[in-house]
Amino acid sequence: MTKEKSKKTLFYPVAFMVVMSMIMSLALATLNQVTYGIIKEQEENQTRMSILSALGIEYNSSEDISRIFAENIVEGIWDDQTYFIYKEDGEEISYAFPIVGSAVWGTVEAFGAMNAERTVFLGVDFVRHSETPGLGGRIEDDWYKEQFRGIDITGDMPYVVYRPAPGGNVDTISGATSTSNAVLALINENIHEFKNFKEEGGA
Amino acid sequence: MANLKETFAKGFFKDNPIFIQILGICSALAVTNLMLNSLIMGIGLIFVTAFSEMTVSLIRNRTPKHIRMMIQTFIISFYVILLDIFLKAYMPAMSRALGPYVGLIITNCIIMGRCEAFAQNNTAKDAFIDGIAYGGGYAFVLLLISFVRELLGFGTLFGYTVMPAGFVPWTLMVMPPAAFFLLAIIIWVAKNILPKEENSEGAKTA
Repeated sequence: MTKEKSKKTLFYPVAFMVVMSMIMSLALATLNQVTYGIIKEQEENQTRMSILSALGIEYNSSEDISRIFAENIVEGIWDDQTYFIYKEDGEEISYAFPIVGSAVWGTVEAFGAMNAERTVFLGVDFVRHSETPGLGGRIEDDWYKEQFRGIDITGDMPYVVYRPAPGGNVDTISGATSTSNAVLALINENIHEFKNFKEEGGA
Repeated sequence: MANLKETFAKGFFKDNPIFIQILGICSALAVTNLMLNSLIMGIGLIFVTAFSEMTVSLIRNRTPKHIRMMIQTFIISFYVILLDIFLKAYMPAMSRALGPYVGLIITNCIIMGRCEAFAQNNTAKDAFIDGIAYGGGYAFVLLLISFVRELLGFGTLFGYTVMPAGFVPWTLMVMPPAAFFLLAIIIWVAKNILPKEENSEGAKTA
């Protein structure tokens, strides 16, 4: 192979790839920029839906969500994180607090909620997770989440226990033991810490 | 162009990517618990296959032959990301329901197979139509499977209740194994109905 030819066969494919990369990256970057605001808004909406569902508040449309957030919900700061206070007629009814921590494959982000008297856990809803779809991913399933509604948290840790252990009040997910355990530990810890924070008079 | 009718007959039946070539069954098993999921996934795949094939065909004479597969993967990824962004922005619920499977369209052998087997040697217009036909064949089988799964598993179709009030959902249908059983039945039926020689001609390995 002559020097000339080897240069050509190496140069052309590389140049071709570079040009292709540039065109496609530019197109995708532009699109990403254009839709950035919309996606951001959708994600925020998703978070709000999770908060309401943890609190156990019904909503029918995105107008509903905006209205509830504008009229009934104020934000508070807990340990550098934002938590949400649900009010009716100026009176604090319940709190939704973030539950963030690692599970099997990555970070789980969720919201938990308790009433203002700190006696009942109202529910949990997951915003983001990277558990295996169909296995650990089933923490998103309604049957799993709904079990956490109305759990008594007047005593001490652990508040939520998997059956059939003594005092068990929820069912684990078959085939996803690690995810189930990680999620349960996170929920218990965060209930505990948020309760303490509120008992110490945190606003 | 070879006969339009013939192209679609091939994509949907004689050379169907799923039940004849057994390609792309991973996602076929995963997203078929609800008809709506299958429909969106099917439309997504039609879009990606058609446009990828068209693009590959458009630049086929300039593409260096030894790096062509790299370029194909690149083009496919481009359209899949496009689709992913679109779903995230305008159909967030669907984006969540389909989860990682939209991104995994990149690795769907149907698209790569058609780019390599058809788009490399045909005009852009033919390649585009070929993509619609084969993507459509995939969507068709997905809808077939999800029709049975949703009907028996939830008693609904596209979310609308169609079964009588006393209907007891057959939970197995919602779970992954049901997709295996149904896909196997579809392949079995297809292999028996379709003429023998067409089968062997269309068969390719994944």
